[in-house]
Amino acid sequence: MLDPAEIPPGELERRVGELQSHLRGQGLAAALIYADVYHSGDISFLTNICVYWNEALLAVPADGGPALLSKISRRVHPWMRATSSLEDLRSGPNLADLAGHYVGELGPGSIGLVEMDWWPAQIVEDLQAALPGRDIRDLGDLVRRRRRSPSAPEAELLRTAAGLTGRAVISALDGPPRNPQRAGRAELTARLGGAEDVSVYCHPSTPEADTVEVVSEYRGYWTSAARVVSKSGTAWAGPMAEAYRAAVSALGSGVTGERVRAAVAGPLAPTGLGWRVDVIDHADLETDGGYRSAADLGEPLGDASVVALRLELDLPDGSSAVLADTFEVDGDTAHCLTRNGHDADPE
Amino acid sequence: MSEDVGARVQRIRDAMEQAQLDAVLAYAPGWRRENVRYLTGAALRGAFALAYLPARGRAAAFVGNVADEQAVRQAGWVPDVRVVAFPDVRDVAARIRADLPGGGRVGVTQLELMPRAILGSLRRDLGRAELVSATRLMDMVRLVKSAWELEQIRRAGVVCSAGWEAFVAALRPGVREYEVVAECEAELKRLGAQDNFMLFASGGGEVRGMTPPGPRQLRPGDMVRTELTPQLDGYYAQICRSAVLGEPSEGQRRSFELFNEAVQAGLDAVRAGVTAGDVARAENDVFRRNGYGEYTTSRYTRVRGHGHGLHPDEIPALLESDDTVLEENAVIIVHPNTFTPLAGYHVLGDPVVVTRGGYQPLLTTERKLFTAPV
Repeated sequence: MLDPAEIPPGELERRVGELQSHLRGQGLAAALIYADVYHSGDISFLTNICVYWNEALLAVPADGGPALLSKISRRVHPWMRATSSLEDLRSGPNLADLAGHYVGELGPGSIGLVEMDWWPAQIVEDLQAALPGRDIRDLGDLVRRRRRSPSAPEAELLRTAAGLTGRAVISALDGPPRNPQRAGRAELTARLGGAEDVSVYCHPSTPEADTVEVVSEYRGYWTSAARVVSKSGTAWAGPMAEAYRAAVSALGSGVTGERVRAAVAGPLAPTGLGWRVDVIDHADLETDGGYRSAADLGEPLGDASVVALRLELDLPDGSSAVLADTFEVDGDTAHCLTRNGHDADPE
Repeated sequence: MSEDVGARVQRIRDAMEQAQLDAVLAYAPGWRRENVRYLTGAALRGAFALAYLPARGRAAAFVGNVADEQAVRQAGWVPDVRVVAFPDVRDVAARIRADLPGGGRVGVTQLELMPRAILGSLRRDLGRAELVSATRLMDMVRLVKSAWELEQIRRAGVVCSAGWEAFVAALRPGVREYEVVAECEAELKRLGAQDNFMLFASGGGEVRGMTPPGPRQLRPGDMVRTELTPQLDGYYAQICRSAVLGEPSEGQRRSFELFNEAVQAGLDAVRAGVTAGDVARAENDVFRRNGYGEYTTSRYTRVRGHGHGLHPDEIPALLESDDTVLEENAVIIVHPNTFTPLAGYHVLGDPVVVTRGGYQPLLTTERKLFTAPV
């Protein structure tokens, strides 16, 4: 949905305008952004459209309004117009054909493809064939990178989204202890709060403990939280909680993932267990961080960025335990957005 | 019951031999993991993964993160699993080169979705090997389900039926669309579903298709339509139903009767050996006979049903132009969902297992125009 109370008038146009300024600065006629149902955050960020099925391209000309080129039926164009800033909607079975026609209408000029390496090769090759001689360049991850610095309305939406994810995790812990029942309660809480998409991972960590992890999307913004439910004392739970607290303490502007890993290593060393800790920007949560490059992984946290901290411990029986929360980086510290008063301890 | 992995692999290799392929490389982007799951048995979370099966020798898997590596190991079907970082797939190419030192023909599933960086790297590193699409080949392999697969889909069918009951129970004037979906999704998860693909529409004769749910509040007289598709242990089953808040109008009743007749006609046409087009034609003939043939076209509808299994929308598409032969133990849903002027977009459909003499239903849900009290 597109609610002016959440996304003020002019906000989406401002985001598109920033991209268009970049295009004009680079002498590009348009940018094309590829999305599928798994990875559509850039398109959602610019237009509020929800790519709920299949694939789509967003075409952003250097001047003028963006256009959505999609495989989704024309029958749902009214819904797309009602829930996004888009007016130009084009549907067809072949995205390269749609893009070729669109670019052809624009006239001459270079075209930039956002995250070109991730585009299906076939679409790129068909587009090159449809536009012989046209300069087609890789724009890299400039939209995703821009999303790592949330505007004030975005920060507010992220706080709302994270609060919802936190409540979903807590609701999972409150009631009958079977994992499907936990998943059902988390799903209900998140959906009733307005989440568009929810992934609930409930899995036994050991006979003594379970993990409940929720990753949910609210108005296109993803946040995550995970809790370990101890059924009785475990040797690893204490060190894991201590390590998680150390990781939280390490979060802050300018901090790298390496520093967070160093903070965790000491408390977990006595367990002798394998572990992984990750700090994932909210813009990368929809893909579980899977679209990040090696350079992304080494980058320091930005001030006011919103990130998920995730600590996973490998247990002797082959299962794992996960603790996670979403934080807003504020100078040398980070505020947790997924915990409330009665959920103060990571265990 | 557990899956006979050897029989599954042999089925793929038989298809490879017919297609003169020396190996199959399954590519899984984040939203199309069905072939990699078919080969590895693993539930994956990562942005990409690959699974490799040579005509002779052991399979291998290449995944994008440690969690997926563990998932493949735990599934136990493919012991050789490695983590690769996008887009560095040199390990994949090295394994293929080792098996096919003189080059060969490698079928790539979802070649159409393979990222430019990965495909470019494979083309460079594989030299003389020819890469061809094997998407259709694997779709055809997966079309026919094993006894174990049918058991999983039947479980998903049971959850489907329960999900629809929860859906109807949530219908009342004033409730918002997403609140109905919340109650339904929660019940599906409580019953063990790990995922669900669901579309929704509410309102009157103006409704032309389904979308994700929104904040619209239901009103007396609304027809509420849904297609819900829970997944258990990788396998999806789908149900399509419509319900009316309060007493159905004459148009809604007539619409249901039309769609119910079309579903039955489609089901009556189902048996091993017929084509997807035969089933679609049987459904569409009902619309044509009743003067609504125009509404069976792509202007108003997508397909008259489809297969499902490890993906919620598999081949065959039930279209009159589709010549795919339905084999015994294929799973399809017959759903003539479309718009008509009678009551707007109407959805009704049942999934079935194709048998030699007809079909076995996968749902226990009655096929009727459901109503909810107002």
